[in-house]
Amino acid sequence: MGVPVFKIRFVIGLFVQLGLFGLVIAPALGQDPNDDRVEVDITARSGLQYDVVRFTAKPGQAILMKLINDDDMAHNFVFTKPGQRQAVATAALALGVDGEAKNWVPDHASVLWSTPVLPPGEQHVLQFTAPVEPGIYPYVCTYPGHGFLMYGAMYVGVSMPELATDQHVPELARQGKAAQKQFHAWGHKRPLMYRIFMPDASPAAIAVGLKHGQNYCWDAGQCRLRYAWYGGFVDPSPVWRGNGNGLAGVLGTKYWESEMPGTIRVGGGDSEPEFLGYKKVDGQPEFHFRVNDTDVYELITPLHSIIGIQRSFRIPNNTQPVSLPVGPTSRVAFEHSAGKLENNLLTLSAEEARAFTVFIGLIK
Amino acid sequence: MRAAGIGDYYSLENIATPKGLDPQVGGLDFMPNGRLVACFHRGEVYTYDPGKGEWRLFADGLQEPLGIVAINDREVVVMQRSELTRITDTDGDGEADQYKTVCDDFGMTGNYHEFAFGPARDARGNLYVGLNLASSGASIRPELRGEFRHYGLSREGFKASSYGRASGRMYAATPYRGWVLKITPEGEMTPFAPGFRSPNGLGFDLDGRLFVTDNQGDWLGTSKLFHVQRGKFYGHPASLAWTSEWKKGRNPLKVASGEFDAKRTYATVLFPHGLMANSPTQPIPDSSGGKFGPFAAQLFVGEMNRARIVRVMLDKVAGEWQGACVPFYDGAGLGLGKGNHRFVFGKDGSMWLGKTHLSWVGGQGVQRIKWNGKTPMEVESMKLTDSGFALQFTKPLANGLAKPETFAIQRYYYAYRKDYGSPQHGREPVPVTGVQLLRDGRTVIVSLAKLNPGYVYQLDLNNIAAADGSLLVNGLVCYTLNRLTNGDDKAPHLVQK
Repeated sequence: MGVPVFKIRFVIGLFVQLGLFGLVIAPALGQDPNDDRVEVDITARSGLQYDVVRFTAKPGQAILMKLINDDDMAHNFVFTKPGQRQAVATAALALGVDGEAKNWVPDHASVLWSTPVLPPGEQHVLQFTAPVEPGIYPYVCTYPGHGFLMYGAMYVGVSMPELATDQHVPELARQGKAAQKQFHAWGHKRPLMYRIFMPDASPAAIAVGLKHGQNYCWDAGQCRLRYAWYGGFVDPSPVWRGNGNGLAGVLGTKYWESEMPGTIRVGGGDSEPEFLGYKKVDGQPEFHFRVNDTDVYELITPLHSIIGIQRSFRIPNNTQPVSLPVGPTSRVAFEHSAGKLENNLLTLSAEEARAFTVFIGLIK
Repeated sequence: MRAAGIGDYYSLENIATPKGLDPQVGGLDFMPNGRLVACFHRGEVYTYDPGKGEWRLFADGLQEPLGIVAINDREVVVMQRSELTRITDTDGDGEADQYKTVCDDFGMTGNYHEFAFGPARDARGNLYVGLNLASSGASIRPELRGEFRHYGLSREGFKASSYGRASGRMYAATPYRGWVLKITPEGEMTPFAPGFRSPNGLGFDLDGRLFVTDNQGDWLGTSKLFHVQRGKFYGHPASLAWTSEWKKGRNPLKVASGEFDAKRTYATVLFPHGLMANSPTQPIPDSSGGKFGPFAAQLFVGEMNRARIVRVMLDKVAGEWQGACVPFYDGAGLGLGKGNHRFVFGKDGSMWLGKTHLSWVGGQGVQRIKWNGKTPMEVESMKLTDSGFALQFTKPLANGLAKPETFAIQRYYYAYRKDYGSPQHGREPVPVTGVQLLRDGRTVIVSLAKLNPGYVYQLDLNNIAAADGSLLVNGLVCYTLNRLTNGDDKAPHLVQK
């Protein structure tokens, strides 16, 4: 896996540049800090990632930072005072309905510089002078839910530790896994699905990367959702680089994992579910399986306002009561469109079960 | 005279694949509209327009697909690790949107070696697939699909570091590993024949006979080509645990090999290891009707470990098929390379081939071989006679070659035993007692001093030329003698331990 690439260009100051052409300027004049400006391009990428997770600057040095939003969702970029990343991200969340108008930048004493919220494909340049006070100045996307994963740090007059031990960058970057390597002729795309050996699932697992950095593992061996995570998709290389004697790696943070065995039940009995395939709906698989001689369909789509997924079930012409294990429902935002929830088991009448929806979100 | 090479008769072209694709090919076929369709290691299926040289993504997300059959211009059936899948472009936009599970009625332990091969399609549309055994190179995973049953180990036992001693080198801990399965177009599955180790190649010949290759290893002294029929047993016992007559818990590792020998069906053709092929792949009949040279209807078989495609010459003896193998396209320097995995003939009679390695010896990419219309001097067929062999060449022989010195022949055999592979046993030269050239000028009857069942007869033909001056291209020919013309197939010397 590639370690994040540093795209920092040091634009050499006027004096030196001239010197290259032989027009000698006496170095005794000294150098203005502005003559040695840091230019850094930081790209927001699919899976709630900045491609550059840290860079250095001298105290008082001029900085020209360009944020490029190469993702399919909106992002911003906020510098904070040392140690204030989480406080600022939390304050942004608290903006609630006012957040959009404020570009999700809270009125917080620790905010130093910020970009507006950039829609996909847009860019924004920030110009500022690095603080004179040496320190580690965090940056973070304060768009709701993103700050847990999408951050980095500017080192001002302080040397960087080894990346693998740097607590100021996301865990994935420390592990060298921040970037999803390109594995196909089409480059990066979402939705994307792999049938591949996954951890904590049967050998017939399916991994799906949805838009907005949402991912899930659905088990075709058992016809049920196993877990969901946000961030990058998967690292398939442990499986693909060899003969298959490996598991794909989950790139990101699991926020929900089924704690209940068994899939949806239609009517009585404990018949084994039979996997029948899937149809692509806007690139996303709608799984088809049969339980107790009844056809069941499940389509999982990403939520837009928060990190989370929507599980849409169809059981056309259903005539029997249905129960669906949905646990855990605590620690996540859980909603259901119909039925009764008791002990993490959702029960629905025959009619309710013909089409119903379950939501699992990261934040309450 | 310079040395003859297959490159004087055939040309080879590299087909560029999409940039960024890992071009390890799991399967190749042609759609009726003339588009090539190929599945690749990372789960993609592409179609290719040979006229325009353009690839187009058809499907993706598959799990190590190792075989593909085009049903029509919008539909393919692919064998992936976990299932046989019908993939359809229902809206006609060129990209598939529907993936229907045709059959996943077999187990998976998650062991890396449980590859799934095929499908080969018969005239009625039935699909045949081959399921690899698991390898003791790894254990089983915590979660399985299907029933678990193993003769030597519990699931807990598979967690111990010493599992490999009790599991067997290659094992079948879930249903139908080591089997060939028959699946109707509607998805109804019949376990068809057990006894396989690593059947990485299934194909029908032009007469509708199913042939399957298997790879040297435990119980396989050398790699093999089998003519596969329902209910017969093809030699590797691990899969017998999933037959109805096998007593639950009985351990095939503790059964004398003579019992399995009595049950087994011999290979049609043995590929001598280190000499002919080490990892044979797909058998494919020459369906070109003569557009690909003088081998119409014969089988070609790919080879992973060297730059070679092998040709098979079948011979029906006392009602059963056996036969010989000979290199066809051979040698580095002609651009072929290793990893020759999957094949299909185009309408123009050219052979398309796809390569893979899956981290073993092999190659990658797509190539195309065309015949230039000139007939190479080759052994065209080899048939057993009462006293030796009849060798028919593609062209009349030059004068003066019909003499015993021209035909250097030796024989040897491979032991049937649970150990990995087998050395060549009983290796000895076989004196040629007579050589007769028939009136067609191209058929030679060779009489031998010893002719017994249970041996490979290896011919090294080094000084043969055609009357037109061209040299014999491939002189290494290995005939698998299972049966004499009188039907005698007794070969007790094959069984070891």
